Amino acid sequence: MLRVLRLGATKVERHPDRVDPLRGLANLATSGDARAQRTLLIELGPSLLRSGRAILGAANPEVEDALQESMTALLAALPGFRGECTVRHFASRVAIQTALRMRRRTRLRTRYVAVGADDELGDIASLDLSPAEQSEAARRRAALRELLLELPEIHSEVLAMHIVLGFTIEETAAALSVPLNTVRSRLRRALSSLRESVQGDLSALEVLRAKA
Amino acid sequence: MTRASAPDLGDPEDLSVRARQGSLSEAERLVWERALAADPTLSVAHQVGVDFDHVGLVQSGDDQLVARMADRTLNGECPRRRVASARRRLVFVLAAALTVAGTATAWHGGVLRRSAPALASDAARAAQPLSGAQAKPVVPATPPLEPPRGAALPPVALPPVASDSGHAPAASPNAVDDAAALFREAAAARRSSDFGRARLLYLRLESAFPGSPEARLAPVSLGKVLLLMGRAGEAEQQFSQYSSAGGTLAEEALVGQAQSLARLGRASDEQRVWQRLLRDFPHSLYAVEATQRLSALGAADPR
Repeated sequence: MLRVLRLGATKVERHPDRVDPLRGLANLATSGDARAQRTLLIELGPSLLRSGRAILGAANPEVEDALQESMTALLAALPGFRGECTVRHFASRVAIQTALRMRRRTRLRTRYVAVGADDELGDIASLDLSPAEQSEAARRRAALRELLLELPEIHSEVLAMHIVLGFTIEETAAALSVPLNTVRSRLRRALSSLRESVQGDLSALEVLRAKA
Repeated sequence: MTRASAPDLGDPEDLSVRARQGSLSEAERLVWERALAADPTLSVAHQVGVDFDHVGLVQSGDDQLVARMADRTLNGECPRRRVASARRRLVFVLAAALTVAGTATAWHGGVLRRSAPALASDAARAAQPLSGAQAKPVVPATPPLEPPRGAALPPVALPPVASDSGHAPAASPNAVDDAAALFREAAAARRSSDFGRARLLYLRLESAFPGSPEARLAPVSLGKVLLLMGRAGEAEQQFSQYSSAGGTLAEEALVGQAQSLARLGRASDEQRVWQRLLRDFPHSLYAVEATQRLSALGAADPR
C-alpha cells in the first residue's frame, strides 16, 4: 500500500518560513495519541472526501468507503511523512491514490457503463450552467476519470493533482517528493495524453469539444 | 505542446490553476490568454479543470460523515460496502455449494436406482447379445449443469472478427451484440494499437448497425485508424463521407480529411479543407494547425 510514499532523497524546494498549522497535530497523531488522531482525521476529512468525490464521482456509492480507506491509509503513512509538503497536501495525495485504486478495482464493473452513468449525476447539482452545459461538463469529467485509469500511475497522479484538485506544479512536486522539472515533464506527457485521448477517442472527444 | 509562458510569470499550467482561482494579475492574465490561444493542449486541460471546479464536492452533512468515518477508522471497523460485498460473496458460495451438493445427490440417487435392477439382471444380460436399445449409455437422472461439448449453442448475432495482425481477439467478439458495445470494442482495439482489429470492428459496426448513432460517428474513428495505418486514400473517403453528411464531429472530420489529403499530396484540396475548417469553426482547437498548414501551402487564412 502507498508504495509511492517514499519520501527520502528529495530535491523539492523547501519553504522553512511557511508554517504548517497541522504539523504539530500530525506529529502527535504519529506518536499514537488517539485524540490527536481523531482531531487530525476530522480536520483533514473534508479534503479527503473532496479528493474521493473528485476521482470517483460525487454520487458514487463508494465515496464513503473511499473516505474511510483514505483515513486508514493516512494513519499508516504518517510515520513516513517528513514534511516536504503540507500535511493537507500529503493527505490529499493519499486520498487520490486510494480513490484511484478503488476505481481500478471496480473497473471491470464500470468499463461497460456508459459515460454519464449514475456516479456523475451527483456532479450536476447546484451549478450556474445550463442543463446542456452541465451535462457536457459531467461527461468531460467522466472522460477524464476514465483516462486516469488508462495512464501510467505516475502520470495519472500528477494529472489528478493538477487538474482535479488544482495543485500548482510546486505543490505537486512537494506532495510527490520529486523535483519540479520531473513534475513538469510528467504533467506535459499527461496533458498530451489527455489531448490525444480527446482527439483519438470519439466518445471522449465528443464531450470534450463542447466549447471548442 | 507549445510553451508560451513568460519565465517571470511562471508555468502556463500554474497560470491555469490561478486563473481557476481567480487570482491572476492583469499582466499574468495577458500572458495566460496568449498561452491559452497558442496551446490547444493547455486549453483542453484548463477546460476540464474548470469542469472539476464546478462540481459540488462539499455537501451538507459532510461534517457528520467525516466524524462517523473517523470513529469507524479508529475503531478498526471495515468499510461498509466491503463488508456487504463479503456477505454477498459468502451467500453466493453457499448457494453454489448447495446446488452442487443437490446435483451430486440427485445424480447418485439416479445411478443407484438404476443400479439395483441392473445388478439383479446382470447374469441374464451377460447371457444375451446386446441389442441397439440396450447398448445406449446410462443417462443420469438429473440433466447436466452445462450443455455437453459440441452441442448446438444459441446463434450469435454476428460472426467473430479476427485481427489483421493475426492476434487473437482480446475479448469474445460474440459478446458484442449491439452498436454501443461494438463501438467501445473498436475504440479499445484502437487504443491498444490493434488497428487491424479496430478497422474491422468499425466496418462491422457500419454494416451491421447502419442507422445507429455509433455507426454515424464511426467514419471519423475509422478514418483516424486508417490514417494511422497509412491508408490515407481510404481515410480521406471516410472523413469526406462524414463531412458530407454533417454531424457533431464535423470539425474533427475536416481535420482528418485535410491530414489525409496532405499525406496524399493533394495540396489544393488540402488547402480548401483547412480554409473550410477555419470558416466553419473559427475558434477551433485546430485553428493553429490549420493556419500553419495554410501558411506552408502559401494560402490565405479565410477569417
